[in-house]
Amino acid sequence: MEDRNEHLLINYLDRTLEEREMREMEALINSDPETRKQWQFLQLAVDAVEYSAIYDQVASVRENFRNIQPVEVLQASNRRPARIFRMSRALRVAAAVLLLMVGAGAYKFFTVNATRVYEQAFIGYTLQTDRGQATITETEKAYRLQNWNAVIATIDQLSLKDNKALFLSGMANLQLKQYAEAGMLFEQVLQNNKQAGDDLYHDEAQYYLALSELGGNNTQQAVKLFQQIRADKGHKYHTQAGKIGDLDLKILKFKASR
Amino acid sequence: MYSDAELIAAIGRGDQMNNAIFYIYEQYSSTIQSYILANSGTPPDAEDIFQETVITFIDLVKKDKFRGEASVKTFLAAIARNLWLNELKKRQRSEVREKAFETSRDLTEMDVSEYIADREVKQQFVEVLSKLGEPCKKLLTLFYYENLSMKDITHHLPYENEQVVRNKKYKCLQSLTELVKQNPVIAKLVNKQSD
Repeated sequence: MEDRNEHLLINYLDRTLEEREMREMEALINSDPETRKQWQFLQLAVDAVEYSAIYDQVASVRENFRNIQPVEVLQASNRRPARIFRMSRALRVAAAVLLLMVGAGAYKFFTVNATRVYEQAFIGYTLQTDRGQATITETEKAYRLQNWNAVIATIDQLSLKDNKALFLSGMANLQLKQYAEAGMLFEQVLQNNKQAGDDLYHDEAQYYLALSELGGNNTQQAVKLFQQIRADKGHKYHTQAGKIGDLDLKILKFKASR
Repeated sequence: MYSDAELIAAIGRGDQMNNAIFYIYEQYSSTIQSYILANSGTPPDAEDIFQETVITFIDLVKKDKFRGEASVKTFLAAIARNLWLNELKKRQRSEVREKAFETSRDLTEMDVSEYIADREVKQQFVEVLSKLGEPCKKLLTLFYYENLSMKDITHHLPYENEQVVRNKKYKCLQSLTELVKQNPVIAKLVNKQSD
């Protein structure tokens, strides 16, 4: 078969020919036995591709299915009698409970990670209107509109940044997942309070600093902060930090130490 | 959880293929494999026949040859029965075959033999593709099975542009067609049709 004809047949198969060429090729297939034979082989080649793809896909699912099935599903019906170790009812119950506990523990271990804990623990900070406040600043306006870049920009322009400004800038960075920047701003809030003997935005900064550390993969530091907040019943975020399970924190700490 | 109609639609669209196949395994593998085991099959036989049953079923659905004339369960059971009897014939175990015929009647009476007539050819399809080489197999699968455009294929395979993909695809299909021609079982089918 001529190379040109083969090319045309492939284009006919892919339906990329002009309408006139399609009709000509159709006529050639019907009238010329050699072209018809070549056309059949081409169709079989494409059938082979499709069948082989289905074969691979089913084989892959079969493999997955086998992996999650109890091994005895098929072996139980095997004609060769298997040697069965018979347990008492109490022992079977105990074994089942143990298996469940091990399974649940393994599931917990593998599913707890920094990202997941971050998502569970994160709550947005809602800006309150201060009592007696007559006007709303540009920063507050931008924060309420969740325009995080504008929040950062307006605060950057301030010559004197108080704890509120630093905290809001930290929150805007956190919302933008700029964990290192957010962490530095929250630390600055805590540092200011330490120097002034004050507690303005202390609890807020500590909780969101823990989240910044978690987001920035400083898991050990994050866990330490969460544990401090959980131990302090008067902390504004005590309940929120308590929602992260103790076991989750231990798993995080263990994974981070490896 | 799929109804029969939803399952057929999912396979036809191809967008939830893995879920659909997994569902078929969950729902029907146990019953059908038990049938094979009860009719002289070994556990590997049961698994292999069920796998081939699922492949045959999906192939038929994708080619619009299954139109819901029976329930999916009945249809799968009929395919499995035919494949297994076919396999037993191939193994020349007549005494076992007779026994299998006896015990299979309660499973289904549906005749699907026409759907599995080219079983040997289908097995050769897999064989031929394995000889083609992975890059060509992947490229042709993306184009003819996944229905991806030349442009989309450039995102999946390390080819510079659509024209390179087009040329490569042409050469791959040529090579595959040649392998198909050289395969005696497949060639016999074409020659039979030409006579």
